[in-house]
Amino acid sequence: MNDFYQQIASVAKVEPLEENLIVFAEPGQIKEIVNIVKIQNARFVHLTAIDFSEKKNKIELNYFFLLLKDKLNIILKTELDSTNPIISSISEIIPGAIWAERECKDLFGVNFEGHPDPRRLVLADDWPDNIYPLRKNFSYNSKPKVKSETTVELKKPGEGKTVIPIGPFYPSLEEPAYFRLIVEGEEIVDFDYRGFYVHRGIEKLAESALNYQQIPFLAERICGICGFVHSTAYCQAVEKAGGIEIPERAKYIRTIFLELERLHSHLLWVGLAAHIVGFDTLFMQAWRIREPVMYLCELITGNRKTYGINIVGGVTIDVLPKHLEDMKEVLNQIEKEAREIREIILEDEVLQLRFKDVGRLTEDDAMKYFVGGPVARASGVEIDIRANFPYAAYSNIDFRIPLRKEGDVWARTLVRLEEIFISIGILRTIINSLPEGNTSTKVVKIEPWREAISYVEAPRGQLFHYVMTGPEGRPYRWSVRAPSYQNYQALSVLLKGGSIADAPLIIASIDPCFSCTERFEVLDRKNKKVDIYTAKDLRKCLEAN
Amino acid sequence: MFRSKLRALLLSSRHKKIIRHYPFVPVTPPENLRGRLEVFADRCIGCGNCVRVCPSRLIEIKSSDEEKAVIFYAGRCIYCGRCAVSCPEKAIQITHEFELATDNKNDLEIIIKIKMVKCRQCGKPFITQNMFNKQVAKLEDKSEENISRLMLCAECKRKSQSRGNE
Repeated sequence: MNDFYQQIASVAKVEPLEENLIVFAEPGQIKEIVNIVKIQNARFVHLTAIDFSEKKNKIELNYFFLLLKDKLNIILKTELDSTNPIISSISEIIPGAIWAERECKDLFGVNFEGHPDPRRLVLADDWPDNIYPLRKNFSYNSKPKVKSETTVELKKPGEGKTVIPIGPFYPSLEEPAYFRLIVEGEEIVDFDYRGFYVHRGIEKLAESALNYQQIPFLAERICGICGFVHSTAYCQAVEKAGGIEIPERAKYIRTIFLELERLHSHLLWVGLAAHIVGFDTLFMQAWRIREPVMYLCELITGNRKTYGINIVGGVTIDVLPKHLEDMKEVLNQIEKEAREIREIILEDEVLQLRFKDVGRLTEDDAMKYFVGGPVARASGVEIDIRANFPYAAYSNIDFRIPLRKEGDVWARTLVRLEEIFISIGILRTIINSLPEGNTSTKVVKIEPWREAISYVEAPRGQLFHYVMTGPEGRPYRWSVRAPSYQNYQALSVLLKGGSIADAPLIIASIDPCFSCTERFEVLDRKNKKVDIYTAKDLRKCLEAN
Repeated sequence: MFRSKLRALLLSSRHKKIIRHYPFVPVTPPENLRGRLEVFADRCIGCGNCVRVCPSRLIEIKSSDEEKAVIFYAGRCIYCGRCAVSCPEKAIQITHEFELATDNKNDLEIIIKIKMVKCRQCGKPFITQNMFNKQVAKLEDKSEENISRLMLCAECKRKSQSRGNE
């Protein structure tokens, strides 16, 4: 640890701050420092830019790394000239940074030299060049003129290979994304992805129009399944930045809903996986078992989903003793029925034939792409933010982290099943130890230019929120990296060598969450007239493929 | 193989009917459900707290000489209930009503109008009638003189005070 510290300190200015290590570097030194950090087995978390072009004509790049064994965040900062921001890419050293760099290029206009795949990721294909939506000089409600000529850059298949397009509307998960499987016979040899069709401009809206207390409600709408993790992560980040200590009871109530969410999210996934392989009885039963959790949430908060109870400084509702009684009952019932579901899955040979040895992700690849959550744990990577970086009430609760070595779809299923029971255990501990007290504190003033990182272990993996407080009563920069964002990038490894029939299952096995990944669309196609595809156009599309 | 399918059969046969026959059989919403907003025009003092807290930014206050109009474009409402919490006069209440489907979102709009009180010296509207009534109610001595003193806008009050000091 000390060696490493000195190694970095010899190259750049270092400033330790609580659990963060902030490194200020020159743009030319980035590669060198990233190499030092990589040797320490640090996980790459995210890369985000902050636009200071109005203040000092600079764009600040922030590289976030995480040293699990030392419980340390490394924030690597560098400043680029905002008129021509250019820096060498780190994607060669860290393949998991490919998407983050593409995103920065799209939204801030930062050019990454030597990037292996410099296509558009976030912006629509007809978005005009040289307009960067997250720069501060772009107004959140302006509508730039779309490009008249659009070119869609997609991977071309090589000689003797065929393209199988899935999408742009993904059939089994019923969300928009476009997967291109490049196949040779039955075997998938390459894979291309074009998504980000459900961007909603969330980060931009928060940074330019809302205030601190309004954003939790927007953050919760990032995702329809695991929205509570987003509002919790956002609130925690602001609380950390503003030095606000929330009451213990609020922390416990947040933990209750985080776990209830994990419970129903995993049950939903089990159902979906069964549905994809055609076992619809299991699908319906898993979703029926999930239903009491939704009723319970509705009973306590008033809503089945999108509870709307998180605010900066605590939660808005209280959990009453009668709710805890109901919860006990629901947990007993779910535990009993989830056991039956597990038995059904474990004994089913068809499921095992479909799941085992399919979509294998080795531990090395899992480390290379920094996947998180059940996907990482099924490949033997021991990461669970609840244990590594305890937040909310997790520091007071003991729980197991299920690990599997196989790294296939079967292992991911088993890990998720196991986590259902662990969540039930955590909830039972909370029922017995819920502290008394207030549920929120009053937030007075949040000082500008403070920054904070907050992690939450979402049902799908490690969620990351970054907040830099601003002078106008709202964050100057709020950056979100959903767990699926990292997991998606591992799909190219997962799919290679698989067969076409397994592709839907493999894609579903990372439990992808489209809206989480694609949180900030700026495009408004409403005013554009509707395109009607003629037979000629369709033929052209087919030819292009 | 068959054991697993048999188990699945058993599991599903134990729960025959789980469907609720809504809307033929009405559903009682849970206690904490946040439904349609109800706004009481006779309580609103036009302070604008709700405008500041609403995450959907759907509340607008339009002032004119005679009255203040508080408009809720409730078609955009996310039913978070922050406005009701922030209201010092409890003029906004969250009801349990949830069957709000409509083919015209303007149906959900709520507009309340509050009368303004004019300054007795300069004639500028400076306070809402409800706020004025509240101030009058707070007075210990409800004499004509005291009430007429309340009918001055801040500017005129300052002027009259500074004149008094001279």
